Amino acid sequence: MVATMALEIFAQQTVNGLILGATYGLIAIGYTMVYGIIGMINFAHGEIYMVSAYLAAIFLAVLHFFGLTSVPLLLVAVLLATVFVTALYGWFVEKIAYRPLRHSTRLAPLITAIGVSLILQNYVRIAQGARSQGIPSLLQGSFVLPVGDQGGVVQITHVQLLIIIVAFLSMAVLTFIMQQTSMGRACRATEQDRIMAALLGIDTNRIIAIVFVIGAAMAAIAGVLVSLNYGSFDFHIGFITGIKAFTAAVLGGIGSLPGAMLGGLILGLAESFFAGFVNSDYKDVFAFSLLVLVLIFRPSGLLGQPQITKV
Amino acid sequence: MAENRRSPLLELTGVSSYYGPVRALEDVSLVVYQGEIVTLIGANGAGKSTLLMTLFGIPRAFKGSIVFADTDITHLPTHSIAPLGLALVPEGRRIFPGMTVSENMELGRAALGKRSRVANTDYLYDLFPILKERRQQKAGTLSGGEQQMLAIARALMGQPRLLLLDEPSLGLAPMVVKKIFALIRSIVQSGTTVFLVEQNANQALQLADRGYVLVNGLVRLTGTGQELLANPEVRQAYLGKVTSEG
Repeated sequence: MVATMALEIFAQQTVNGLILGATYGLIAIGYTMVYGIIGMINFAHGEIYMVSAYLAAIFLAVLHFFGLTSVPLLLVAVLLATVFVTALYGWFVEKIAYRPLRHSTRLAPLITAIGVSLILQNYVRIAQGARSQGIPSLLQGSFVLPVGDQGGVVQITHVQLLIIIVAFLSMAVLTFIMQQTSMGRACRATEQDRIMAALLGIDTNRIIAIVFVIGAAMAAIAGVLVSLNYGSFDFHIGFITGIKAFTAAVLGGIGSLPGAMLGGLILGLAESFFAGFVNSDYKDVFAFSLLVLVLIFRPSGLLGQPQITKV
Repeated sequence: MAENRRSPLLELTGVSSYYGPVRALEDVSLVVYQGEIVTLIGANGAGKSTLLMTLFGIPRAFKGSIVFADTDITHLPTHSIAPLGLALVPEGRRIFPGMTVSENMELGRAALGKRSRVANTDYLYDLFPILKERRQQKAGTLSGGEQQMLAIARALMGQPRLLLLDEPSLGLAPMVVKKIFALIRSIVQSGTTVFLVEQNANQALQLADRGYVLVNGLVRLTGTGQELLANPEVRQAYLGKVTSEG
């Protein structure tokens, strides 16, 4: 009986952890790609995610107002519109806050990133109010799967299934773009040697802008999915989620795209198991302890390349 | 000899540039005609690599003008210069070590821009059979000589009108150097103009139609390859030979 219970919790927390981890992974992509290409931590990235949650709610309300009632159509339209507008935010932030500091010290863009983060938070607070906002649950219902032979069950809601499918599909598409297309090749070249890429005729400013757009788009996908799942959010959600996603990026090896996805999943699963089996109040402590342990034994993260100083 | 060739392909007039507060080039004027092979020799730190990088605006020319194929490129952004048909094999090769040989080659196509859609990959793999053999290998695992060949092949992927080579023989075994020089000769024969920067003055001058000698950022001497080889100052400073006249 106890064994069945444990198995049930294990299965349920695996599902929950995968979902949490997939969203961490999606947001971590933005941190890791930006770090990879210009060596800076974009502290405003969490706020981009927060903005996308609000945009999703706005688009949902507007489209519903104009009579779009078909749920699948509504989901696709909201996702596309949110991704597009959030990507514009990402592009715009890079253009006004980071590009002018391209040849400045490494610390300067970090400071403007904190500034952008504060601006976005307060802009949303003023425009949308400080109270938490919600969106109606569009997808209801769930699948119940049996676990073990003692009648245990694990529950996966339709929204959770959607999160897993959309998150992994987005990661697969992004990996394909980065590995197989000429744009992806240009991104990787710019990451490895920006001057050489420019000498070959690659417009590196454009590539850096594209990376910010990709990062924001991935965060927007996470924002839409998480909002659909939880239904409520406020102007503060970017902070803690941003820190978690950043942790995931470091855990996986900052600069590495598969590392961000892997780091997200590990962090999500670790948090979820700790909450399920030990104590849900201390799940963040466990997650960050895990990070400390990994960094002690693998300072460059799980899939990160050790920094080699060129002679 | 140069005078009866066609119009100048590359012309620098009174170019000065700075690295921070340090003046790297001072009033440099030089010209490369279509179909030539021109070499620039000089000691370490004379400004040879800076001269090549200045063509691409890193650092920007502070004074003077740089004209390539009738286009003033002095103030163009770095990335729009290669598509005009100017390709650089830079100091230290700067291949992308984490990418495969064929990906490195493909990146050279960025310079094709709107000029051509047809890549000359097959021709280049014939010219560099070792690269064809290793095309799926990470470029960082290649030997020094192979990396140099990859850097040259990558530059040629953009089908440049002028190929700039920065010390292609540096750090390579004499056998490999010989091979690289033979390759340069066949590249020139196929119709690409070459501007070769070298410390290996003897080999470079033997290969070149004309040469320039750069000393502390200034063009000190110029002449045909044979003239410079015979010049007592060049012989003493760069060829390690003491002339009998003293």
